[in-house]
Amino acid sequence: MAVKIYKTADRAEQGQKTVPTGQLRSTSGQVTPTPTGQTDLAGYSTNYGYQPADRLVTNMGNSAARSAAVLAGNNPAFDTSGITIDMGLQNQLAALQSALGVGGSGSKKTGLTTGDARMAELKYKKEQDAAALARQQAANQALLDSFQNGTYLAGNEDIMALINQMQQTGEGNIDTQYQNAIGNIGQGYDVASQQTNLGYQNLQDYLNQNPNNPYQGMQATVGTASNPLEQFLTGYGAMTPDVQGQVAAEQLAGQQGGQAFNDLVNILNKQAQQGDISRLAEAKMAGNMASTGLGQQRAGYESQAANQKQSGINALMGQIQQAQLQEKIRQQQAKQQIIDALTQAGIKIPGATGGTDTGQGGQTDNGLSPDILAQLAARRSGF
Amino acid sequence: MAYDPSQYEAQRRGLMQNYAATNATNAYSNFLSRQRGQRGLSDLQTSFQKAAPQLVSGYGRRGLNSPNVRSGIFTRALADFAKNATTQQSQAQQELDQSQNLFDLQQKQSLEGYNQALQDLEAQKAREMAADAQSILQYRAGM
Repeated sequence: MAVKIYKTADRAEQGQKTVPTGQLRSTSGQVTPTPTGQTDLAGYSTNYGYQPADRLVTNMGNSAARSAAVLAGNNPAFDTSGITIDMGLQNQLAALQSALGVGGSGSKKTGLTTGDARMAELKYKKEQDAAALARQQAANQALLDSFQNGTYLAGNEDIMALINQMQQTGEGNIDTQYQNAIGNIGQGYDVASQQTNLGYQNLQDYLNQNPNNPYQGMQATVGTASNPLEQFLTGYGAMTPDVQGQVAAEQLAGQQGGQAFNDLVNILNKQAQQGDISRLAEAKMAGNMASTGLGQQRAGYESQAANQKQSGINALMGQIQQAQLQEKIRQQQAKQQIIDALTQAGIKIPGATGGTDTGQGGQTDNGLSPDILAQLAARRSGF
Repeated sequence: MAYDPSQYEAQRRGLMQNYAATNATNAYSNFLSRQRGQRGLSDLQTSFQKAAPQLVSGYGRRGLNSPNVRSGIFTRALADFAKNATTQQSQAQQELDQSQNLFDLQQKQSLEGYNQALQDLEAQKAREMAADAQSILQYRAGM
């Protein structure tokens, strides 16, 4: 049962009838006042914006004020100017008027009194309020059920499970990355250590196999001094001792020169040997330093990998805790929203903080205070 | 820089070529020096051998030397001649020997330098291998 309400601006294009100000006219021409600030039977807003000139009730959307006005006998005229109601609504209103016995067709008088109209209005409002109250109560009950059986937390376990799975996956990835890093460092160290040892072992082997001592066994060449005319002199009996002494002196001079040379060679020989020893020791020290450096480098890289792992885990745990906290906050907010909604509706939640009974003087869900409703009921009983 | 043995082989060839050239030049110089020394020594011996009979005949013409006369002057002169020959020949021989020793020493020193260069080359190879090994570890560690 669709009831369409068009604004004035829509009249021309919709081709609907225009109801004069302060009236709602059915197809039969019966005028029925329609309240504002309410919803009609189809749930559409009926804030038509009527503006009576003499008995203007402002803020007609406030049911309390409207009710007060009714009680005061200040029956407002309804300004329905600018309101276009399609025929469906008019038919609906006609049916309603017929049911109430207050309607008629055309300009036929039905004998409807002002009191009847008020009664019809009150009845209509009562039904409306009851329906709205029922809907609100159903909604409140649904909220209460959701709160009590915990269905408002639906999906929480899945989210928490996802967070836990994210944590496990993250930790697994970090550990895998760490293990890969340690493995790579270990393999790199093995290769590097092998290469280093190979290089310096080759150097030591070379130094041992090729000692740089070219002066080893070197001796000065010293010729033997002799008298080339010895036989000649002997033949003439001139081989005197001083000639032999001269030969010995030359021999000695030659040997002394040779000895000096040998001394020089010996010095060079010892120097070369010391150099070889020094070089061999240098190679061993360099190899040892290189191996030690590799070990230290490996330890440093492993330490860095461990630090990175720890940092990754810390960051992951921070994210996990943040996600868990956000989920907890979301749960608490959902819980609090339910509590607030039920409290606003005047429903006390057993065991829940913040729930209250319906307060004295508080407004009900239909927007009318209990006092006003009681006065309305008293007025109805008086008719 | 990655370890490249070919570079060291090139350096080794250069060192070897330099040493071989130096050693060959030294050996040839040694040969020439020995040849000159031996020739001089031989000429010296020849000259003394030729001069000795002339010395004897000179004293003979002056009647200071004959089968029946053997003067002290002749004997002393002949001894001085022999001492002089011994001295000059010995000095020539010593110079020849010293020259040979010097060439030998130069050859040994050249060999020592060559060996030192080769050892430096091998040490440089080992250091570069160690440096490359450190780079390998660094790369594998992802640093």
